[in-house]
Amino acid sequence: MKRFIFEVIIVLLVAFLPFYIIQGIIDKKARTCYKPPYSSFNYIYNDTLNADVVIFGNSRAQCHYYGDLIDSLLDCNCYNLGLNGYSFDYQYNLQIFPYIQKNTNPKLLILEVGPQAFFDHWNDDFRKEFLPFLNISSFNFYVDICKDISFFYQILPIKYYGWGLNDLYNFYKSLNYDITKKGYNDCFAPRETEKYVINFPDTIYQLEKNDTIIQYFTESINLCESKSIQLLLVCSPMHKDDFYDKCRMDEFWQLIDSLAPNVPKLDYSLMFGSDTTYFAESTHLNLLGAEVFTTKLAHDIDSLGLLK
Amino acid sequence: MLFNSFEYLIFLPIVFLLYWFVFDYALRRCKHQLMLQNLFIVVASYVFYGWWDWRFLILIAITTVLSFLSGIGIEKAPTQRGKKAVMIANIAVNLGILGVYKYYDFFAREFAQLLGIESDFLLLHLILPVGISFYTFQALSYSIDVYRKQIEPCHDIVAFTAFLSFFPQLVAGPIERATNLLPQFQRKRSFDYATAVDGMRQILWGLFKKIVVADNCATYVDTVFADISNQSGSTLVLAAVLFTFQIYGDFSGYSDIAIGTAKLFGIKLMRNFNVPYFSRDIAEFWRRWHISLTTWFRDYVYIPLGGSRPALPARLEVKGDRLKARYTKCIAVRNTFIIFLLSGFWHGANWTFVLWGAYHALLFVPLLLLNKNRRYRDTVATITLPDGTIKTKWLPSLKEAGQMLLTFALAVFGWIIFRAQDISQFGEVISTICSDSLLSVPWLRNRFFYIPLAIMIAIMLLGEWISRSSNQAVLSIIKNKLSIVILEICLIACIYVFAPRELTEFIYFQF
Repeated sequence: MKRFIFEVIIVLLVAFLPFYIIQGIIDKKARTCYKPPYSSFNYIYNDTLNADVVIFGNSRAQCHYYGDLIDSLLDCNCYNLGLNGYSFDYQYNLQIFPYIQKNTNPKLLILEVGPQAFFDHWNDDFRKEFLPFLNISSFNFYVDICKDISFFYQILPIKYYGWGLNDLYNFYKSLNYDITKKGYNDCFAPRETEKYVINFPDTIYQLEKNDTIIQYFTESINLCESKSIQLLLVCSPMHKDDFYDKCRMDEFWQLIDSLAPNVPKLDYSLMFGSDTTYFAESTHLNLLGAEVFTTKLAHDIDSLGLLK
Repeated sequence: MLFNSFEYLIFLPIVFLLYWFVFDYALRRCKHQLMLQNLFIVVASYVFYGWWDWRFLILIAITTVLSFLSGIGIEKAPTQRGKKAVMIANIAVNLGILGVYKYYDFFAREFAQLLGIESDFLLLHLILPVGISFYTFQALSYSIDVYRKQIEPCHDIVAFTAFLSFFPQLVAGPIERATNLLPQFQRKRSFDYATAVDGMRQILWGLFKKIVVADNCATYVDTVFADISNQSGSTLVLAAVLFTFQIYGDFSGYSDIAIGTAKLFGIKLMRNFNVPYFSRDIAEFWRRWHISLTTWFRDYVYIPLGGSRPALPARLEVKGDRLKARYTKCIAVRNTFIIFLLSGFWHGANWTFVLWGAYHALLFVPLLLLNKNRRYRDTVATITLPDGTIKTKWLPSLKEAGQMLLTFALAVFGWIIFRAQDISQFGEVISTICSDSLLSVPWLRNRFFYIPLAIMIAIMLLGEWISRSSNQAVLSIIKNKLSIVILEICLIACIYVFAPRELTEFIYFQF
């Protein structure tokens, strides 16, 4: 019996040892890589950007704002720090507040807004992005959210980088991410088909009014005000039939107006209507859509004089 | 609790250690040691089963008590008629429970549709308890075997409950016979290193088949079958082939894990699969697929109905041989259809399962009529030496390969019926397959999906091919110790890397 138990333990240890070694190597790479989502943390925690324009938001920010294009059109230094699946509480605690603490004040802070940024039931998958950074003390300082990161992700080696060879390969590819994209991430969802797909076809997007999330949205506004940072709230394009019409947009704008009455807002939600040429899927633009939208946004910022 | 879940990963070692260290070693001088060890198995099995929904425990407890009492009732009944009445009562109650939970809504809906009335008020909307068909059939076999005097009635309720609820095979078989499993709970078990190692290797191989092959095939198959109207014929053919591997990996993987787990506890379960995809005709396929269910229907339905050699009625005794032969064949065909249709319907309340059973009956009947249904009782590409030992060949002959390929293709077609949501979806799949789009390039997702999956399916088939004439897991056949350890580590690594994000239930849990 003892021999049996001993042998089982030894085989398991030998089988899992390589994964822990690979885990260590990948963690190290993740902390120096500039592919979203890791770029966003590395830009904030490892670098000092001192950017003129910074963009925060969820995946719609990450996939819609082409930082390099804004640089060339407005002759400034812009970074996209959008993160997949983050609501305003995460954005404030993990990104906006630490960024402003570490860097000189940006001239313009763009915050992507949309009904989804008020959701409070994000999947653990999004939180796994914290894991390579857990041993950074400054990160832990801000992340009390880490407490509820799934136990499995913390003990199972390499799993938070993906659950199949495809995910791991994508991560490996991401190490060669084009740093000039400055945080922009080509939409990931429809990679398999490369054609427009409807995300969550049966979902009706209810506007949730979670107190904590609303509180941190307000904190973001107050922080910008207190630091005299120009804040701009932008709602980027949404597919009209498959996304916009499923959201209670009137109610959403009423909420935004009540929370941020004096902050400039730009609404591009119906910019492309239902033209699938510009969409990767119903909730995200493709590269062409991102370029056209970013160009329009840059012109509008310029004409409104928000960078002066 | 799923075999491929984290909970089970904790549950199994705890139960294993307590079983051997506390209820075997520490209590070795206690005169109730066996009873306590069986009681522990019962508790562990009820925890395992109650993990899904504790309310399911009530049903299995009812089945257990009724079947236990029926055994005693059959023994005590003074007349043969009384014994039969007790057995029939037990069968009726157990089938009644199964019928209400599994088939009532189906028949009510069909009935309402037939009458053209609203069915909602007729439906019960009961949740189907996991594995109800498996333990019900096991309970039925007990009372029938007691009635047939093939086994003595059990007077130990703890051992009997352990027999009916033994967690490794509780929810998806193998459907054990009381003659095999019950005596094992009535005698002392002792830990055997070689059996435990063999069990662990079988678990590992089962997990590989389930997690690496079946679950990854499922990601493709489910995507394709969820949106049939937008798929090409070639994609649907590929999905059908992958489903063929999925259902085999899923169910035989489960059986391997169950049999391996039982070995850890010193219990030997019957073999449930014997390389069915290497069959040379459909009759051989059915001797190798879901053996415990097939033999159940054979022993308790087919043979009592007369099988393929029914007794002749008196009025035919005086008739000519030709007429007698024709009668025999008619009854054999009838019986074949009955067991195939029942077998199909056993899988679930859906006409697709009935059609699937009928399809296999249609394939089987010609072999039966030509007396070729028992042609292949040996294993493919093997030679039996004069001393009785079996020598395996590396490759099958060209004829055997052709036969296996044809049988496989017939099985694939059958699985399309089985996988379809309903008959109309099946029709849609077949019409798409028969269109021009059959010649287009199928959707393959990406190379990081199909290349590793193809390799893993090939590994599974190779492993099954190597072990086809053995009763052991493929890893136990290899003699070189270092090779075994390397293979074990590679299998663990594959299981870990290819484990899907979400836990997937075993397909047969729904039956």
